[in-house]
Amino acid sequence: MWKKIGMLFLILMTGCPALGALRIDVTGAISEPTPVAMPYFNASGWRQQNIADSITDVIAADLERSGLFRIIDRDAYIQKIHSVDTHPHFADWQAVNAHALVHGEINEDPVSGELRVSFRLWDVYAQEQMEAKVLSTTPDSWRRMAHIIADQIYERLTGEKGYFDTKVVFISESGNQANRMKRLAVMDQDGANVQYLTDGKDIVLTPRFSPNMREVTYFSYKDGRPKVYIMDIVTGKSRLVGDFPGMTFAPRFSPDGKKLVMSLATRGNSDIYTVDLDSLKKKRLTDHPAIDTSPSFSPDGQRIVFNSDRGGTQQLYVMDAEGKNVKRISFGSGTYATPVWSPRGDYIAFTKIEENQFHIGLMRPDGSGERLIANGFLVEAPTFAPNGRVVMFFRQVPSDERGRGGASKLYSIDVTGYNERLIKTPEDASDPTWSPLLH
Amino acid sequence: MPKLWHRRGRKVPEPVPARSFLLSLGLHLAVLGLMFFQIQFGTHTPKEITPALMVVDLTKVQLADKTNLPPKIKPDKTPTKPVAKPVPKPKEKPKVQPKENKTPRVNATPPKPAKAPKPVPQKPVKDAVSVKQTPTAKPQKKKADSKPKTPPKKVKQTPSENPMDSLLKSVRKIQKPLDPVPSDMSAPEVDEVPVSNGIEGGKEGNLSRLLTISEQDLIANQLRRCWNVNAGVAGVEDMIIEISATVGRDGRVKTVKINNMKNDPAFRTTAESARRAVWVCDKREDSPFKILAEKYASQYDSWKELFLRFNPLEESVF
Amino acid sequence: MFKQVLGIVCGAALLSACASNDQGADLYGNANGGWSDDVNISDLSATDTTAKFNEEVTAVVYFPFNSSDLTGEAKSYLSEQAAWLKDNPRALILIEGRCDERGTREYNLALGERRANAARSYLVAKGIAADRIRTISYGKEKPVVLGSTPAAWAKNRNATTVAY
Repeated sequence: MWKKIGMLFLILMTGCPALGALRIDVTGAISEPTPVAMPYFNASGWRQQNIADSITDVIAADLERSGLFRIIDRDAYIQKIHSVDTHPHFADWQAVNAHALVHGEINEDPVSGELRVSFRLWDVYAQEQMEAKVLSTTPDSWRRMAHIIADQIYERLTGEKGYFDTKVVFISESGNQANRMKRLAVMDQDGANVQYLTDGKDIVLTPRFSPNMREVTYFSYKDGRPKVYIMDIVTGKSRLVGDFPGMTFAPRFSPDGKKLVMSLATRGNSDIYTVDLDSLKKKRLTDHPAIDTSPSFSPDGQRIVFNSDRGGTQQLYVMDAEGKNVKRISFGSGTYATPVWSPRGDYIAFTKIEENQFHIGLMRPDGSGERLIANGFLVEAPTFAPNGRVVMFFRQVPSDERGRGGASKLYSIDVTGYNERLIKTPEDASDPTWSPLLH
Repeated sequence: MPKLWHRRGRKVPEPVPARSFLLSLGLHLAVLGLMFFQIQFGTHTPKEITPALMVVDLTKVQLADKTNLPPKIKPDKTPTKPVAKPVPKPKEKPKVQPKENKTPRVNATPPKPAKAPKPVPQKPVKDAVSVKQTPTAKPQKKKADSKPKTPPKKVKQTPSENPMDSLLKSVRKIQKPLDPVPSDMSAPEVDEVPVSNGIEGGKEGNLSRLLTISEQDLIANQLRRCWNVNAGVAGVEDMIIEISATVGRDGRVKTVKINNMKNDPAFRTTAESARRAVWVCDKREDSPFKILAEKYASQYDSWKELFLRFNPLEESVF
Repeated sequence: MFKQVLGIVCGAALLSACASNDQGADLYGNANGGWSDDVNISDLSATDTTAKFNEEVTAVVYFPFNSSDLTGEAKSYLSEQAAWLKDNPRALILIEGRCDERGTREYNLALGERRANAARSYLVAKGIAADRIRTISYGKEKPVVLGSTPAAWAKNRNATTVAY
């Protein structure tokens, strides 16, 4: 009987693939921008070709700006692609070391005028198609189309959600420091399509996007009353949130969009409240003589991280959504401020001030793993891209005694601390807030 | 060739005889005809099976003067596989019908599903294209300069790395058990066969003693250098990707298959990058599999199948 | 005829004099002599009272870095202000709290508010009616002294009293 079992065992074991094969364990990898080939999308007619070229440029710029991809120089391409149905000659693309190939074409429906963009994404070495889609929209939405395609490529090649089809609302600044004009503005995340939402008569600060993607809450000195407002950026209409005695400021939306969490100052003391946006009833969450401000919900809505000096210096604290179980999470040297919770839930970004230098940093929600990813004379106000991988902030330089200088610009940086990029804005800019993914 | 004659100091071409003229004309036409054919084959890429495109309707995307943000439209995320015909494996030569004179312009009609392959020799395509192969060697080198900012290469050094020289020195087979890659693997593999068990596959002797540790490390290191993983992907530190590959006697990779694919998007893309790593290494001049072909040619059965375990580790991508 | 013109001229002069002597409570006040609720402080304009106050007392008190504690010097200036306000019972004041640029925006709004309120509380403790005092925080916006130097920063950490 044991012989039989032994035979059975032998048979089973030889059937096991691991036994008949040479085993190699590969641990670790390199991390470089993935080389991607992207010939200009095809089109018929010069007008469509212009759009095709522009769409290709926007997609390529998005992917390269992420720092995770590198578009291979088109002069090196061997195969000429003529349509979205052209089958790639993979050896040609392997010859330029493309790991992925993207190509596509633009078609315009002669009757409806609708723009149709098709694209394919190929794994050049495995010689397989990874993605293929046709998207249609109105012609003037071609930029959004390009961002959506870039997101699809990004998602398919990284496994993470993209962030290119998003908007950024920020404060556009100009003028001498003595009399700075500040306006609420909105733009695409790549800096295109800037539109101004307020007229600059009143100072506006610290906007934050709603999860419904069309509203922002912000702080304004309108009518000489420093208060929290909500603006519908589609209609441009603003409304005051509640009518509370004293200054309201530092507003954020809850993840379900039904509440604001903010600070309310009474008799000089700032505490954190939530305000129900339907009933406008407020609920007090902190009751402490210290300054409590800059609250930010966790993406599951269960907890709030905020800034308080209740321990004597500005630090970060986490409490539950009812205001209980307050726990300090920042313990490094220096002071901490402006916490924001990543939409992925895995990090809290903050501003840190240490020995007269400012930093943007990340830590895990329990306070561990603190890393500083950017610094400067003055850097502040991190905001996360909706996929939690990229942080945008502003950096300001010193000004002189005449109020000149003091320029302020937006930057983005990967959560790994690499790939810091300037975001071009028409004027100076500060206080960015990143929208959710728009599709 | 007509010669130029000097007649009284003036250059006058000699009149061309009729026969040579006709011959020249004929030759010109022949060359033109050949060129025409060549161009046809060269620019007309083989019509192979192209999978169908998935349609995503974004007609509702409307942007007014102010940013009119539409409600969320989720593109249909069903995979293309059920609809598309699979791309032929590299072995099958893609075929082209010369009659298919689709002009290389965009079709107004929506992209069609793939046509079935038709039998025609593929050689002309290669000839037309092969001319361009050599100059492309350069762009590969260029890429090192043109990056604005890239994460530095984080190559994990395995402790017992002992590169080329042990390989070059002796061809002697070193009988040693195949240890697991050191340091980070805490538990030994469940299906790793200890020598004393006595159960071994194949007639070629003890598989697990085929390579020296340094040779294993060499191959693993080269695969690691071919393996590009995007930094910061969530959960990458826990991933183990298992890949089976088959290799020809010449050391060229024939097939690569992911054994433990999961539904998780991050796992999928990391697994695909591991699969790609095998092919990328295969295409390199210093392909690690060539070592097997050169050094262990007589034991081909021991390494014609490869079982590779890829583990990115957190430090390597942050 | 001449007398009438003189009368008109004198009357006008008297009236204008009266107008410029109007104190905050007359322009911006409510029935109780405190700030009226619907005054938009962006629409406030300086009056003679404003200038008079600035001439006669120290309008600005300074704070240490990151602090809203009143120094001894601050207290003495505020005491002066309190005395002046008692002598000018129709005057209303707005206290503006500010911070230097070496802090973050939202925290500085809160800190400016604290500073303005610290000054206010001191004045109230000295017997000034609470509704004669309004406060506003500008955080690190609208600095009074320009430049990125410690001297400028020190001057921007203040509570400034503006009288109307």
